[in-house]
Amino acid sequence: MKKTIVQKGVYYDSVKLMLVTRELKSLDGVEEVAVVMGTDLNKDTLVRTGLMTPEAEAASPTDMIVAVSCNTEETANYIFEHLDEMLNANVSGENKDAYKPKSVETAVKMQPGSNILAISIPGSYAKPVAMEGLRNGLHIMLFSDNVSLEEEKALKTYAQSKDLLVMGPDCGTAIINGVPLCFANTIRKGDIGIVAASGTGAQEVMTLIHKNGGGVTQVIGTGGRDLKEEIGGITMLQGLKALGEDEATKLIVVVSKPPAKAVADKVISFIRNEIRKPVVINFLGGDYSSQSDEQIRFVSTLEEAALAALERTGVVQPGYTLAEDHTQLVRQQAEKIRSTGKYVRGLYSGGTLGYEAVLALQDRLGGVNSNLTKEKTVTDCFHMDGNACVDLGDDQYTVGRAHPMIDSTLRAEVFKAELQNPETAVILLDLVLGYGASRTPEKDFVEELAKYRAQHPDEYVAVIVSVCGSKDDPQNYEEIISKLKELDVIIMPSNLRAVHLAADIIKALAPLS
Amino acid sequence: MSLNNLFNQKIKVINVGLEQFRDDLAEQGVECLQMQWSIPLYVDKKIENLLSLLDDEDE
Repeated sequence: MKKTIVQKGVYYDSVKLMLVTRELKSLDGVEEVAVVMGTDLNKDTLVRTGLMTPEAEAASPTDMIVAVSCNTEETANYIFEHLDEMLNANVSGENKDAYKPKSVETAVKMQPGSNILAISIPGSYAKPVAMEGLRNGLHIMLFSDNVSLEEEKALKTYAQSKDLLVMGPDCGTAIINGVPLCFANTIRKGDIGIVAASGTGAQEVMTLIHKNGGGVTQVIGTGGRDLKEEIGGITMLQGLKALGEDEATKLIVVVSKPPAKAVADKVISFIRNEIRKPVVINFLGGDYSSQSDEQIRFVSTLEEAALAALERTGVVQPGYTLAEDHTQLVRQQAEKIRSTGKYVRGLYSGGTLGYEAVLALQDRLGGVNSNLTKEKTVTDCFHMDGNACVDLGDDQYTVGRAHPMIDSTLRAEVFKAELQNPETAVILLDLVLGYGASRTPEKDFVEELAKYRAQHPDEYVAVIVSVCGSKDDPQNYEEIISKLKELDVIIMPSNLRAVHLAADIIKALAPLS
Repeated sequence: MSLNNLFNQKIKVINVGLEQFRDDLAEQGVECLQMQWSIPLYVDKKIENLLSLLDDEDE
């Protein structure tokens, strides 16, 4: 039987709702359950999982839907009676009676010396909270997306006047004074500073630096739109200036998706005139190589950015590379893959990792469909054509639901669909570790893949994973690798290596198909 | 020093939104105070625009 209740005008964060949903799913007699905010995306999920009802359909984005399919009325009633208790359950062990202030002003009085306000409420409500933080002298870590460009400009202009940082909106990653904020990894302290308009771009660079023997001073996130003309690189320039003055920082890495030309020129000019340290710049998708000089080295990939930084700070020798001859591996995989398999499908949780994958795949294979390119030729992650890469962390897939680095439910559904899609030969996945991310990011994929391998032993699909993480992250790095390898998942040392391998396998398949 | 000398300070965070971020900081021994937040009541759009003008005037 199906039963739905709708609680109007309540707010629980998407992670809490996801955790409660999982807890309810494990109860005896529960076939399917969803506890979600009433956004269109979540309603699509209800339709797909057979939980949609007229009450759920009528809910608005600020209503909470509890939709249950279970064996008896008693089970449904049990859930509804205990729901409030579960939603308000204290998972962190904190003092239940600890007062939580409702204003930033009160919070600052309660915690003197506060310097950062981290905001992850729905984006359309974020600006006034951020503004209150700035008025109280706090730097802002603005994880929320769906903040308008005008609001971002207003926040950053005001912040700049007070010499405060606004990292964001849509800023997932920062490390300030060794403290990982939001999605960030545990990285050795070193002498490389990073300013990034890209969360997983920063994570890939910093984890590659760490894995190959180096370390970081600070990782400053600017938010994905900071280098658009309307914003003009406000946070990027503030970050560069601060790292330029920081004695511990010997080299700066800049990471961004393609910037507006005028803003790129502004940043480069600022570095040349105001920064007295070597700089490595990765404007992903742009070709600035002719502008490289003694101070600034322009690179094309995240891996190159990390290795150039390590080389220029003396951590690795010139010529150090992660590339290996994978001819044998390519041949072996191509021979195993099901005869109908033709295409690679990249299922990404990190936008920049996905974008780097699109660029590298286009380079080697030609046309690649994606929601990461201007043309946006993937509009539905369940209906992709040809070689394709989808960023499941895109706004389209995260309104009212947790980001795929926190909750892999949607991505695992797409993974399952692609395993069963006869045209799919290779699946690419990024697995991002660190704080903020799921403590078991591999779990859903391991479950789906184990089922698939057992049920379809003669329909092999190659699965290639790059793990964006450090062994010091809170996840169990070695255990994750081991579980994946047991299912014949190929683990590559960087996103770029994973994509190159995938492309070479697809090319090797062409004469066989 | 830029950024009000942030790089020489002990990091203390106020968190509003996902409690997971507060939990992660607590796990690392970083002081973090969780704020309480709920969706604001609906106000008339005209009044909302006026309020946001006041907000902008303060900057």
